[in-house]
Amino acid sequence: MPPNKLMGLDAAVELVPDGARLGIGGVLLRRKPIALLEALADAGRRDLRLYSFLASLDVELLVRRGAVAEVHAGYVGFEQLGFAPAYSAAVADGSVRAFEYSEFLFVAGLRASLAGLPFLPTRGARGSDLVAELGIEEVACPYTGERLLAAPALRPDVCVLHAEAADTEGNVLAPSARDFLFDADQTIARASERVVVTVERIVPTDELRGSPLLFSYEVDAVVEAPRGAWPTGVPGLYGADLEAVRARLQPVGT
Amino acid sequence: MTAAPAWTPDEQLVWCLARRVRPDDVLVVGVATPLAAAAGHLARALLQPDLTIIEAAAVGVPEHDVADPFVRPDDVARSAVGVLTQAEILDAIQRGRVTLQFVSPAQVDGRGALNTSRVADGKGGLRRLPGGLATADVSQLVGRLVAYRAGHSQRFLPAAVDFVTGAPGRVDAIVTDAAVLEWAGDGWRLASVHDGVAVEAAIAGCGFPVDADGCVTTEPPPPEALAVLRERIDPRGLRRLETREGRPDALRALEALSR
Repeated sequence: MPPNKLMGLDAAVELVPDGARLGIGGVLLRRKPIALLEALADAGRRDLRLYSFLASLDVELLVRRGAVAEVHAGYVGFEQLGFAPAYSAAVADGSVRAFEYSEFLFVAGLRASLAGLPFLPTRGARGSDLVAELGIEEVACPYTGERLLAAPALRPDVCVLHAEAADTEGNVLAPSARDFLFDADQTIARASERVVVTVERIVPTDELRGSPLLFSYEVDAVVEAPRGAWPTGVPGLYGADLEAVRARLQPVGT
Repeated sequence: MTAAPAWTPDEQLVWCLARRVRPDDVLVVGVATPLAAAAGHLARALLQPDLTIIEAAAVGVPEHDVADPFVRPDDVARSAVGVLTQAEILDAIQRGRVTLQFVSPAQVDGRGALNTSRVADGKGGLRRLPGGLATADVSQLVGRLVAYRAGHSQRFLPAAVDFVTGAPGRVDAIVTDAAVLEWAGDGWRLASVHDGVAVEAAIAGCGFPVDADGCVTTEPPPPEALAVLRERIDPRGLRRLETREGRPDALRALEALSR
């Protein structure tokens, strides 16, 4: 019998200790694992170091709940809805450390991990002030001498993401809609040590045969959490609920 | 007394961006930049039919209302020939396959450096913006960048940016609501001022020296461009999400659509 990886939110949050480097799937207002992140905050997690490529409510809600020490991201905001108020305030008062990446530096770091390498060279971001801030070093091409940036491997301890469906063994269904960055969750999951997936529904393996986002051996826990991305959206199933998002962006402090 | 022009500053800006497109360009358009999207679709409709538009990683998207990505993002992706993966889009940029992007930084300076990361807070410190996305990367890797903002002032056009998100090198032109500047190899040239804008005012809005020799009046958007923009590409005026004065109305229009 293959192992049954199905568990409840309470058990899944035990896989994310205080201080963990936490990779978060989803981009902007799509496929953020909000139910699981709320459960982490409810469990009183502290000092998390978040890795989120294009962050929105994921980072904002964990910072608002006092769960965060560091944020590593290429963007933290709400597009037309504006800034992330709790995140901005926490960075300004020094209670959260922000690490701003360019898209190439972040994704090259994940792809280094995917390939089992310590770094990946990139031509992106050369000459940017971000490079020194992040402590990224140059490397010379041994064949031409070209100076490249050596994006260090990003390896979160745990990755949490939300998908449409999985079976109880941990095979996860790929997004039915090939929308913007539909495959980004596969990248950050495979770059991470452990993977926790919340899903809209549990299905028999036959329903995802041939369309996997992740295979069972790559997944540590599956949690059934219908509408678990709300108020962010799951393309093809439900859109982001902008009024509910906005209600979670009240100014903080003062 | 002269009559007010029959077009708005945002329409002039969109037309100026569209005119920067060259034959066979590959233009990448990000998310939530309706003004840049409108310029791309307008250019393809009227000026450069061979233009390839990569919109939020979707390739071969038919002309559409720029409101659609906000309201029905799945439909836009479905209407495309295909959608690039995260690695595919970044690799295409890195190997030099993308030739043009319209970018809207907080600042662009006298050397062509871009800032989308931090701006002066007026108290001697820097205020953090949401993040530069791929600004640092595309400023090294995309063939030509056109920086735009509907706000011609030294705040947008300082001598030196407060923070270098993107190093100089690829910004080919700057388009504002007042003027068009072109990179002359060692500095900025005032190529044209929009109808009703004084050359002196455009120069005063730049925090760096500009060469105004040969400055002409910007070509206004022709009637067919205004018709395509107003009736097909952006009937709800969402391009004005990217202008200070127009933003409140455009946000209301977007909210009404989203309900």
